[in-house]
Order: sequence, then structure tokens, then C-alpha cells
Amino acid sequence: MNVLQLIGRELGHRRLQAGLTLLGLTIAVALLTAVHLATGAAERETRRVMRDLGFNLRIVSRDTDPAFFWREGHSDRTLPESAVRTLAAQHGVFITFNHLTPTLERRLVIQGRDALITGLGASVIGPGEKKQPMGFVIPNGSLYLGATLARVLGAERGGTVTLSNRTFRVERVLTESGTEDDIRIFTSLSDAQSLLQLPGQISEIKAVDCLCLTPDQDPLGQIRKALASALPEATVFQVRHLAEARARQRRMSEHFTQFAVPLTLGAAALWTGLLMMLNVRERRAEIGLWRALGWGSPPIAALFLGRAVLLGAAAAILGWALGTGAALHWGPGLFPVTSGALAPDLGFLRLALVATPALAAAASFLPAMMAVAQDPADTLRAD
Amino acid sequence: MLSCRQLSRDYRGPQGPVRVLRELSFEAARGDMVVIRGPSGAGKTTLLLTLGGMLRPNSGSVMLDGQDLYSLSAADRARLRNRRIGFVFQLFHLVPYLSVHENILAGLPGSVDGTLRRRASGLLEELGLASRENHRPAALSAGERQRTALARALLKEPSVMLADEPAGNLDPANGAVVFQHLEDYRRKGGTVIVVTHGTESIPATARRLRLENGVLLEESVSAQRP
Repeated sequence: MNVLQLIGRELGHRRLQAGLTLLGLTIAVALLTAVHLATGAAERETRRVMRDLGFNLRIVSRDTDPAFFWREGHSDRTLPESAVRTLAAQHGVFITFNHLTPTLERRLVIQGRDALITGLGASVIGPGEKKQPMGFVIPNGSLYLGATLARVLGAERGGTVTLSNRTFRVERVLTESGTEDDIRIFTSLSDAQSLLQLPGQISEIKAVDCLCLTPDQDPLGQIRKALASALPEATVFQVRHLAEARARQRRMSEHFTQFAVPLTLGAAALWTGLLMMLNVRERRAEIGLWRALGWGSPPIAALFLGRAVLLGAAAAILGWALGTGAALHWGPGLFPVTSGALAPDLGFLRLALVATPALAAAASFLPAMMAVAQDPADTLRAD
Repeated sequence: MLSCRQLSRDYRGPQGPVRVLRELSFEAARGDMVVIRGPSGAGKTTLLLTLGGMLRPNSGSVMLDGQDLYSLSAADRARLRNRRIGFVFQLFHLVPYLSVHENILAGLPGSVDGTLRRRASGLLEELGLASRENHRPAALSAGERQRTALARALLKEPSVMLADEPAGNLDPANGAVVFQHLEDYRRKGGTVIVVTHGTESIPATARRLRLENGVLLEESVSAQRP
């Protein structure tokens, strides 16, 4: 009878102990799977919320009149579009700024109605970063319409709108937001430049700060200092309440993960280690017997470590299934905006199948070594 | 042949080391049964485990067919134990999650071929355990458990059988059955060392020694050796 068969028989014999070990590990994997999926959903939700909140840094030409800027909501001056690339090329700029998005914004009149037009360029998210760009990605020849403007123009999704003799497809009609976005047209940057006859020009670079500075570190002062050296022809305004909301969202998500993961892993390891210790104690006579029958240390260690690995592998599958099920069941209630993106993560299953047996084996290492080091004479001596 | 020379073994006690075995020497040849008697705590099991290569003595040597057990590495000693020494314990020490048949085969490492399986079945028949083949130890009587342990030790046809109070937990009838099987094994040329505190069921052919204060004393020698 080989070690694997013996492990199987022993697991079947001590069902309660095996079940408790399996339960502990399964709960841990299920929690981590659910946290992993929830964290992904929370990040997407945060990204979406942030997009809805808007960018919190607004980089405009130094010549911008602040009074005009705050009254009209945009700068009447322009920067060359290349300013984004210039800024992005500066060493360390992404330490302070993120999601550099060139925009061109102006007021205009359509069919006798006041409206705003914003052309959005592709976000520059820094070298090697794989974050999804914030904001909308609008193909040329298409536009997004604010809810009020769409209503007064009688435009619908899939329909067309004519601007300056050019016909645009209405890609999307935005939900009513109760802000000036309800009368806004979003187009690609090149379309806006063409419509406004400002080729190669932008009115603003929208960005998000890095959230790495606390209020006592004067984040705005540091941001302005960084910009002054990187792009001297520009100045920056910070929309503070958005910055703080964004920071709160991010910190909440990070703190939860930082707290939950080590706690879960530690608790699972402790639980597994204690139960394995109990298993070794219960099997002292059996270990003595194997020694008497001529077993060396490696098969005895394998008897316990193999047990842990098998339970870990089973827990990985069960826990992943449970955690995924829980996330899919309760996720939509917790993350209503991005719930559609919640899906089983097979990559995490593969990770769990490696990490859980490894964790179980590591937690069982000490008890297994105790089993190996046990003096068989102590258990076999009867007088 | 199993022999020991000047065998001593100490244990650490609360008041310092306690000498359990004091420069013991004896020999047991093929076809010998040696019964070592002594009160509880006399060191009988310590002696047996030392003879079986499981407890290194403080001094002295144990020789099995000319091989000094404790000059071998732990792994080599384990291999030798597996091939040539059979153990029978007072508390049976059966693996609780294996059936009777599997417990018997557990004495052998690795895969078990058809010959060994047939031999195991033969032993089950011989020891009156055929109907219990698939039972777990918890479902067996004490006598059946000890016979299972005996079958496990006999399966590998060891040259030496070491039995620690083999009838200690059995009624006289079952005790006699176990000793009878040990006697049968001896007759076939095996060497049997039994430690016990009682005198019941000991075959008349056995050589009797007494362990007292760590020293072996001759009790009597059987006149009837086949």
C-alpha cells in the first residue's frame, strides 16, 4: 500500500478532523476568492465612480483668466496638443499625474440652443501602465449627447446629428446628471478640433493626481511645482472635493485588501497547523509502528505533508467555487454599476491550486517534522 | 542469530540518569525462543526495542547474523528491520483505518505482488481470521487483533520475532493461541524473543531469563528441544 492510498484511507477514517481542516482552508480560499473578485469589482466601480466624478486636476494655459475659467467652466486659451506628450515625456511625471487626457472645450449654439462641446483625446497613462483610460473613448464621426440636449434635438441613440454640415452618429445618449453635462456633446478630440477650427489645439489637459500626498504635504503646491518644471506654459487647478473623494475610495479599497488577505491567510495557516498537530498527536502509536516496520523519515513526512497538500488542493477547488458563487450572488447588490463584469476568474483558481496546498504544507511542516523526529520507543514502550 | 554484548541503556530521570539495562549479554540462535520475564518497569520493552534496532544503547552492541545493528545508518537499520525483524506488541498497534488484510500487508513497503497476497490470505486462514479479512481493527476482539499483528509480523518471514507482552491483553485461551503460533514459527527455524511479566502459556521449550535491576538472570532451560 503506497503513501497516497494510506493518506486516502486516513482521511476517510478521521473524517471530522479532515473535514475541519478542509473547512478552514475552504473558507479561507472562498474569502480570498470573493475578496479578489470584489476588489476587482470595487476597482472597476471606483474607476467608474471617478469617471463620473470627473478628473480632479485641470491643466490649462498659464494665460487663462481664472475668473473666466470658473465662470465658463473651461479656458478660452489653448495649448498645443503636443503639450500632453511633452508632459508625459518628463521624468517622473506620472508620480504626480495620472490619466493625462487632452480635451478641447467650447460653448456653441446648435439649432438655436446653447450647448457645450468637449473633444476627448486618448488618455496617456504612463509608460508600461495598463490601466483602462478614464472617460469615454469616442470614435471619430460619433458623439455622445447629454440627456437634455438629446431631448431638445430629438436625437436618439443610433440616430444622427448634423454639426457644421457634418453628420455624426449618436453613439450614446447619457443619463441625466443634473449638471452642465446634460447640454454637452462629447466627440473625439480631432472631431472637436475640426468643428471648432482649432487644429492641433487643446484647451485643457485633464488629469488625476496620484493620491500619494497627505494634506499636510501641500499636494497642490507640489503638483504646481512639478508642472512648472515639466510644462512651464501651463498652470493647474485642483478640484479638491473630487480629489478627496477619490482618495477616500482608493484608501478604503486598499485598506480592506491589506487587512483581509494577511488575516485570512494567517488564520487558515494557524487552523491547519493546529489540526495537523492534533493529527500527529493522535497518530503517535501509528508513527511508532511505521518506524518499527522499517519506514524511514521521508515516507513518514510524506504521510503528513501529502495529507496537507491533498486537503489544500481540495480546498482550493471548493473554496474557489464557493467564493465565486458568493461573489456572483451578492456582488450585484454590492457593486450595482459594474456587476456585469463580475465573472469567475480561472487564473485565480490556478493560483489557488498552487498556493493553498503550499500554505497547508507550510502550516503542517512543523507537525510533520515533529512526527519525523518522534522517538518510536516512547510510544511503543508499554512497561 | 541475535546477540547482544555489554548492553547498557540509561534514561534521564528527575534525579539524574537511571540505568535500565546494565551490561547485558546473551545470544539467541535460530530455532530458539527466549522468554524474558520481569516486573513492570524492569526495562523489558527497552531491551526489546534495543534488540530491534529502535533504541540506541548507551554502550554495547546488538548483532543480527553478524551485523552490528547500531553501526548501520538509521536508513540502513530501518531497511534491515523491515526485512528481518518482526514485532508483536502488547497493544497490537494495528493501523485503525486499514482492514485486517491491509494491516497484514502494511508490514511490507511498496507494491505487493500476488504471491504475497496469497501468502497473506493463507496466514489469515491459518490464524483463524479469514472471516475478518475486511474488518477494521475496531471491530475485532483483542485476540483477533493480536493474531492480526502476528500475521503482519509473520508475512515477511523475518529471521527474528520480537514480541512485547504478546498475551498481556488477552485471556488465557487467546494467549495460548498466540504463544502456540510463536512456537510454530520457532520450530520452522525462527528466533523468538518474548518479554512478559507473566508465566502463562509460555511453551515448555522456551529458554527463560529474568530481568532484574537491569541484569539478566537465567531462570531455567528447557530440556526438550526438537
